[in-house]
Amino acid sequence: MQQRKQAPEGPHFSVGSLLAVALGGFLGAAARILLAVLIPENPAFPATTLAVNVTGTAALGFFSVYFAVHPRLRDWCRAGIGTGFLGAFTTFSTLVIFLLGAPVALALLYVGLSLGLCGLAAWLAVRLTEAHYSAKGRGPMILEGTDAREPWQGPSQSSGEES
Amino acid sequence: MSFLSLTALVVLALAGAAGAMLRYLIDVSFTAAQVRQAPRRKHYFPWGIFSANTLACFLMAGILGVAAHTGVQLQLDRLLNAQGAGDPLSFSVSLVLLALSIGFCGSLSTMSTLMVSVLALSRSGARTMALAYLGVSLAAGLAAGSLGYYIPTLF
Repeated sequence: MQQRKQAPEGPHFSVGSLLAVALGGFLGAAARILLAVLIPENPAFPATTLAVNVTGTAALGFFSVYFAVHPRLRDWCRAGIGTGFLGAFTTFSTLVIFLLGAPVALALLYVGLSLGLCGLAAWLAVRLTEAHYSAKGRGPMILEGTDAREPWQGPSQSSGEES
Repeated sequence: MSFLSLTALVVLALAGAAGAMLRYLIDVSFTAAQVRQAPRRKHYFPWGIFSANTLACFLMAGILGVAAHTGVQLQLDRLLNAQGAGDPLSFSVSLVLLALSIGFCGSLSTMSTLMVSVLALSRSGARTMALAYLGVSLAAGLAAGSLGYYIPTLF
């Protein structure tokens, strides 16, 4: 089966992908801004931004596996969901701006929580999605950097690498 | 939600779409250049997303600095909940500044791609590059943000 490698090379340019990124970015930004209005941010601790980043990262973890086991999915679809919607939904700049204005202890707590929870969310989402497809007997080993031509080892094999 | 605040939301989201498009273009062109320069490498440092994030931190801090410097109030809920929004000039100014900061810069930067790349790099054996990517992204974001705050105070 011909397998499309998900980026180390990153997305490839096409006008269709660019338009999908625009649409996804529009919706992702609108969702982020609406959430910020519905759950007003506490200036002393931006929990809404944290929640948005954690859920968006988990969703991208899921989609990175999903995209890899569905190699025939169109490029513009991947770009629209991943780069567009989830990329625009989550934000790095708001986090950094808060860090710059916060007292050191709070800044350390916030950056630790952000990186820890986002990292955990990504890891859990990837592992659970892999386990799901593994149980169905499908799928190459996916994430960028892995050689897609090697036979899939299954998630249990890969667990040793990351501990 | 009034018609005015719906319009404001659409303007902010359009700015967000532009930010996402710029991030995509930066990512695509940086990655293409990296692959052209060193083909068949196993791991590529994500310079494209790194640049988009750093640029976004710089611009956002700059915009917030300009707002603080000129005394413009940047309150999202006031912009989107206000019924008549009072003075049309200050409404438009804060709309533009919020569109550029929360909309454009918010979408230009990304946390999800950063963290999933860090995970993917470390899982595929490039743990040093993964840690470096995370650390360098944070350090550069903080430095660019400080610089962005500083520049408007010069005028």
